[in-house]
Formats: sequence, structure tokens, C-alpha cells
Amino acid sequence: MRDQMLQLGLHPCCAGLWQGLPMALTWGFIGCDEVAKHGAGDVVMNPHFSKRALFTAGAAGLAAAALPGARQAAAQQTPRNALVIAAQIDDLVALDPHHSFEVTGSDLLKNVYDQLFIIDDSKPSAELLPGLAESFTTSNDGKTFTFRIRQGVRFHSGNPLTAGDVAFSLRRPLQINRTPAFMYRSVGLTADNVEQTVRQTGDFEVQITFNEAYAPTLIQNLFTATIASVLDSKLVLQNAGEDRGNTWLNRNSAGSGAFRLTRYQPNESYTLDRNDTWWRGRANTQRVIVRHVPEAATQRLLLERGDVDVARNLTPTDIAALRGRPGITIQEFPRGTIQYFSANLGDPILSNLRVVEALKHLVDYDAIATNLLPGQVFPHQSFIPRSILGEVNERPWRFDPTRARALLAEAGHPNGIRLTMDTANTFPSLDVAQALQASFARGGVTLEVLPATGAQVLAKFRARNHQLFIGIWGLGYPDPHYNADSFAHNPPGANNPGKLTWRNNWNIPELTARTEAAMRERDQNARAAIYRQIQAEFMGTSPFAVFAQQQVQVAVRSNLTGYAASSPGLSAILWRATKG
Amino acid sequence: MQQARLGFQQFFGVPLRDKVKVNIALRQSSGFLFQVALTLLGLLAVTFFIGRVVPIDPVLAVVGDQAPRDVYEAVKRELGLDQPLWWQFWVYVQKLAAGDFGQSLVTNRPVIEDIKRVFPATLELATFATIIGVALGVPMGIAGAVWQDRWPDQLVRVVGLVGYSVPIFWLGIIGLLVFYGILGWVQGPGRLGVFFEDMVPVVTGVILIDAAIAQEWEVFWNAFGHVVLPSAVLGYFSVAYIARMTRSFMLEQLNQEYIITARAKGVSEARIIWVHALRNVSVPLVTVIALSYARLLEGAVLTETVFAWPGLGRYLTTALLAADMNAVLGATIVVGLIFVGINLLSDLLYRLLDPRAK
Repeated sequence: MRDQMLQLGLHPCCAGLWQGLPMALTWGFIGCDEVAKHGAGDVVMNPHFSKRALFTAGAAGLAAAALPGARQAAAQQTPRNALVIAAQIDDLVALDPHHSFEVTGSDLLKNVYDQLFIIDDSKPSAELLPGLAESFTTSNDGKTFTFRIRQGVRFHSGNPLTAGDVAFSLRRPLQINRTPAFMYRSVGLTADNVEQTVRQTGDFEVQITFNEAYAPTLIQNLFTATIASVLDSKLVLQNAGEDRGNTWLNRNSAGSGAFRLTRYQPNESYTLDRNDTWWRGRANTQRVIVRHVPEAATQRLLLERGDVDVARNLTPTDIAALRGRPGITIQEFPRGTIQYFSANLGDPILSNLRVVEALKHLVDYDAIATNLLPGQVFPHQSFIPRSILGEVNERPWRFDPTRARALLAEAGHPNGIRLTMDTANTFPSLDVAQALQASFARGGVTLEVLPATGAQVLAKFRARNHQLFIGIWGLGYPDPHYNADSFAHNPPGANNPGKLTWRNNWNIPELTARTEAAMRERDQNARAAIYRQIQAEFMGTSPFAVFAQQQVQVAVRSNLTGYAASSPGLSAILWRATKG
Repeated sequence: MQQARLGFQQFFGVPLRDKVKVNIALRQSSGFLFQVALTLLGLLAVTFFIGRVVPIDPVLAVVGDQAPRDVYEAVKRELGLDQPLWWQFWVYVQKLAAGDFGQSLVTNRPVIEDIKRVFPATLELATFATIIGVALGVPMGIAGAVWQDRWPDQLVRVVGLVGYSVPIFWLGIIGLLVFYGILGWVQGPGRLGVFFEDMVPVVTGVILIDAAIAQEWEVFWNAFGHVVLPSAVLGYFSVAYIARMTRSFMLEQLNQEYIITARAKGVSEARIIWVHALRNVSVPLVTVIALSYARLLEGAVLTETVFAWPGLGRYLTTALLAADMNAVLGATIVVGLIFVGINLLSDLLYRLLDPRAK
């Protein structure tokens, strides 16, 4: 196996080199030119541009040159019992499942920890399955949930999983109070009440008393999130310092899931080894190695050479070039992430609803999905992502510059307006912002794009110092409430910069009340109906223009099956992955 | 005087003259250390205050987009960012004096641990690149000077020009495509094949050395296969720089009168070039090589990105973009120390190469 990797001999396909290289040279330079043009415009030059330059130059060069050569060169293969993945993992900050809030984090943690409930990863609709909670009952007033905990489950350490571990793990997120704790607080659990509200009532029974009678689906969906991961409390307490094991868990794992974390080097790689006694069955692959490869073109080369089985972060150009290539399969699955831009209603120009309406008519929705981000997004205009309860697939907004001009004139701006848009300087937000600059111009709106690093634009957004902001919103757990809580809930006087409504000065006492009512609606169909009503109003009058939902495109070696999850809100489900 | 000297010698076991020398050396070196400390402190202060003035919010880099206000405030307090700027700096310097570089916000680990990991990666790459740069650049520069305006000179000039003008990330991608993707002569991106990770115990952090110590030759050759291409790409730029500088230094020397004298005396041309001229070029050349080496040791972000090489350049860039000041400052100290170290080293080399410098 190792010898196989140690290929240092001359490969017999030099012909490919001579066919491809001159073209690659030309294409590569064209790519660089394009970037130079971008740099000269309004857009601030920054390190991310060099990355973009890499994408353009690299992808174009590869498209021209790799085709003839690499087809034959892909002789290597990773071992059958190991899965090697090239991905960008440098945004992985926390490994503590009660602290982690990144997608890359949930990719890892969902495979290492078990939660109380599971989203069925074999179906496209987000259907619930029992996880560590085998079943549950609710009290007559609907406020108390009693969970029966699955017996016979063991942690990776060998410790048996009991209701004590579950109660410990339900309280801990609030006690360490990291970002994801807000999910528990939105259902009334707090650091102060959690010792009383979460109770162990038997060896395998846990009871939670909420402040309201919440919809059971909401609670179940919430308990599929990474934050609901059950930790090996004995192991954590053995290693806990002053911070309830937070530091220790950011470097180690204490789970019961399909894999255990055996090695982690930040910004480099991590290794997962199979848990042979997992209660759901043994994973097909013995070892999973995820390596940080920042550059898309490099990921693609690794895949083509067969040194990795999966390339996670390819550009649309790479995907287009790889499609139909023998030995490589493109897999697509929806992600519950939506793309939007929002208008600050605290701004004197934008406080006029007609102006916001005009802006919504100036988005070329179809062009974004088909030309700008082909395969990476599909058009979507409401805040609940497709295949989540209460989804709305109507798209009332169309690109209509004439109507936009008329609306602007009505609003008292017959000669057009000037606006600024804050954006992170990364793909895809910056790319969409630039496209919007062009389409806004057709309606008489001069848009100045202000790119900056992610943390920088967020600070401005949270301080409500923006005019327009373009962003991406991820679904923390597959329940409509997660997004409704931020897009359609803004209690008066709450002063909460975590909520998008607050950041855009959107005061909606009536919608807020309806969002709260939806949390308590026990009948699933009635609950979905409330969300559909909320979204109808949201799409009509909100300061948000949702224009797309993301979909994940990964390229895998064709001998790999079962890697991609089919449900949104989930990422890679490694235990089903099989290599033929 | 004789008496006193004897007494001193008896007492300290060294002659007074030598003791005085030692004293002067000590005074010099303590002065030097003071200077280094002052330089580093200045470097830290500038980096720290610039880092705090840029409008990147490190708290948001930690808590993320959706964090509510109280979590934000709690983390801000935890990081000490609610304190006045000068106080934050004072706390940092105090901790640093005790050897504590703090914790990185991005990796959640002690900065010193991160640097111990990323710096050897950069060291490995920079050293190979410099070896390539010297091994090819110096002879090329000499050839250019000796055959001035003839074809070897033109060739050196073209190679140098390309080296200066081609973007390094592009060269890296094309290099990977050709030598890894198509020809399969070298190993792919990263420092080591995934299945070779953790096979040798970490001693120096430089995988080649660690593998040699552990006598794991398979790991050694795998690591070598990984380092060849990125260091060749980086080395190409060193070659271009070193060749150009060597050429101009040599040209200057070859026009000196002592060369004409040597020629008149009938000294062979080879001896004139390699012994007489090169000897005189060596001091400025060492400066050029040292500077180029120091620059490479700062890390090469683009090369490291293309080759998925976990080095200092990428670490520093990632940290900067997240306003991870502990990591930025830690890496800055390392870069500062590198410059001091390389300067010292080239000073020593001057003394070896030029007896007058003693």
C-alpha cells in the first residue's frame, strides 16, 4: 500500500504534458488578467483575492491541461478500508460539541457523538428517528417531556451511557455558555434554572420541564443538533479543569458515536477511527482521514490522482470539468443554508418600504442560480429552506428593472439612489455582491460594494451601521423555528444583535407573536400552516431579499458510495460510506 | 603590574588580558541582548497597536455570526478586550516575560505549541529553497558575469526575469499539475502522505530529520518527495535573486585592477574567478543569501496555500484575518528572532570570510 503511494517513477503519459501545457500557460495568464481587473476596480485588494486568483488561474489552467494527462495518470488508490477526504477545515474553532458552531465542526462531531434524536440520513425529507432517546412522553399540560434513554450503549471509553450522562449533557451547554447555548435559551432553559428543569428520574429516564408547552417536533428537532450531543460525563469530569472540560474537549472527544477522534491537528488534519461497537451498527470504513487542503485546484488534483476519495470544496468550474470524467462522480445534496441580503430600516433612504421593494425587483434571481453559482445554489425566496417543515416554494419576486424604477420614483427618487453593501470578501458573497452591483445599476441604483473580512463586516452588521448587507444563514437544527427565530422574531426591547430582525431594525410585534405561537402548536400540519403564513408576509414586506438556497457539491472517486447525506441540516454521514 | 597580573591569574585561573577580553565580550553581548530585547519590544508594540486599531473584531471571530449579546460580552471579558489598550499590552508583555505566549483564538491551543508545529514546516521548505537558490544561483550569476552579454548571460537574464515576473501560486499549480498530476514524479500536496502521519516521534519537528533519527527511511523518502516541488518553486525565486546579485557583484570585481594584475601575472582564469574574485564577492553575497533565507523563513503564504503546507506564513495569515492577536504577536516574535539570528549568523560568516572583519 505504502509502496503504491511512493510513486517516484516516470509516468508513461508525457504526451499529455506537451499537449496540455501550452494551453495551460495561456489559460493561466488569462485567469490572472481577470483578477488584475477586479483588483483595479472599487474592490479592495486583499489576500482573498490572491485566493481567487488561484481559483481562476488554477482552474482554467487545469481545465486545459489536466484533461489529456490525468485521465491516464489516475493510477493510485487509497486503501479500501480507509476514506481520505480533502476539505477546508481551517474554520474549525471548537471541538467541544457544546461550543462548536461551524459547519466543519458539525461534519466532524455528528460522526463522533450521538444525540437524543436522529435525522434520517437516507431520506431527502428531514424525518426524525429515535436516537439515544428511544421514546418520549409529554405531560398533560405539554410542558414536561420524559425521555426514555436507550440501554446498552457504551461510550468510546467503555463507560456505559446512562441518564446521568444525558442530564449532564443537557445542562452543560448553558453552564459553559458558548454561542450555541442560545438554542436552548430560546426554549426557556437557562443556566439558573437548568438544575431544576432537567432532572434524572431513573437510571434510563430524563425529564425536562419547559416554561411553555412547546411543539414536540420542535423539541425533537432541537435535540438532533450538535449541541444535543451526549458526553461521557465520567471522562469529562475526570479531565475537567475550571471550565467544565471545555479546554479538554476542544482537543479530545468523549462520545459514543460511529467514530472516535484519534488525532487532531488544527488547520492540518484529523483522523477518525471506527467504533466497532456502535449501537446503530458498525461503519463500513475503518478509518477516515480529513486533510486540510485550502486550495480548490489542489483538492481537484488530489482527487484526480486518486490520493483522496472525496474533494469537498471545489469551484463550479472544477465541478463542470470533472463531470463525466471516468472514475469520478459528482454528488449533490441540499444544505439548509440560505443566501440573502437585507436592508437596514434605520437608514433614512431604506426606511421607505417602496425602496426595499424596488431593490427586490433588481435581483436577477435566475442568473445568480444558473450563471453565477451553477450547481451550488438553487433559487429560493423564503426563509425556511426546502424540505424543512413549513417550506414555501413560491417565488413571488422577479427581476424587473422597469417596475423598480417606477417604485423608486414613487418613493421620491426619480433619478435613482446610491447605496452601500457590506460583504465578506469571500466566495460566494463577494461574487453575488458584484453581480448585484450590475443588476442594481439597471434600475438606477448605484451600489458601492464594501468588502472586508468576515469578522469585520459582521461587527458592522451587528452594530447596525450598514445600509445593505449580504450574508449567508445556516440552519442550526432542521426545524423551521431556528430560522423563524432570527428572520421573523424580534421582541420589543430585546436588544439582541444575534437576531437578523434586530440588526435591520425590523419591528414586528405581530409576526413575533405568530412565531411564538408556532413554537407551541402541537399539531404538525397546523404548525406548518402558521409558518407558511409568516413567510408569505415575510416575502412581501420584510427588509430581507432571500435569493438562493445552497447545495453541496462534492466530487468523489466512483468506487465510493453512500458518502453524501440526502437531508439538509446534515453534512457528511461517514458511517454509510463504502468503497467498492 | 607583574605582581598584580599573577595574583589575578592565580585567583581566576585566567590571564588578565583574556579576562578583560571576556569582559568586553560579555558587555558587548549584554548590550546586544538589550538591543534585541528593545527591538522585539518595539516590534511587538507596533504589531499590537496596529492589530488593535484595524476594525476586525476578534470576539466575533470566536463567537460567530449568530451569537447573542451576553455570550459576546462574556467572551470579550474573557479575552480581556474590555480593558484599556495599554493595559492589554502590559498584561501581554508581562505574560510573555514569563514565557507565556497565550492561547490562539483560532486553534484553541497555546500559541507556542502552534509555532512549534508550523515553524519546522517553514524551516524545512525555506532551507531546501535556499540550498537550491545558492547551488544554482551562484554559478549562474558567475556565468553571467564571466560571459557578459554572451548567450549564458542572456540565458541567466531570461531565467531571472521569468523568476521575478511569474506569480508564484501559478507556478506552484502548474508545477503540481505537471510533476505530480501528470508525471507522478513527486508526492502531492502536504508535508507527508496521510498514511505516514505520526509514524515517527517528533524530535525537531522537521520531518526529514525526525525520520532520519528514527531511521524510518520510507517516511524520509515520502517527506522528501513532498518537499521537493514546493521548495523548487520557492527556490526558483531565490535562484533568480541570487543569480542577479552574484552577477553584478562579480562584474564589479572582475573590472578591478587586482584582477588585471593577476591576469598579467599569468594566473589561470579559473583561479581568478573562483579564488580571487569570488572571495571578494563572498561578503556581500552572504548578506544577500541571508536576507533571502530570512524572507523565506517568514513563510510563503501562497506557496503554502497551493501545496497545503502547514507553515508559518499561512498560520500568520489565518491569524491576522481572525484578529487572533496572540497568534499574530507570537509569530511576529518568531520572525523578529529569525532576523536577529540570521544577522548574527551572517556576522559570524563575515568574520570567517574576511579576516579584516575580526
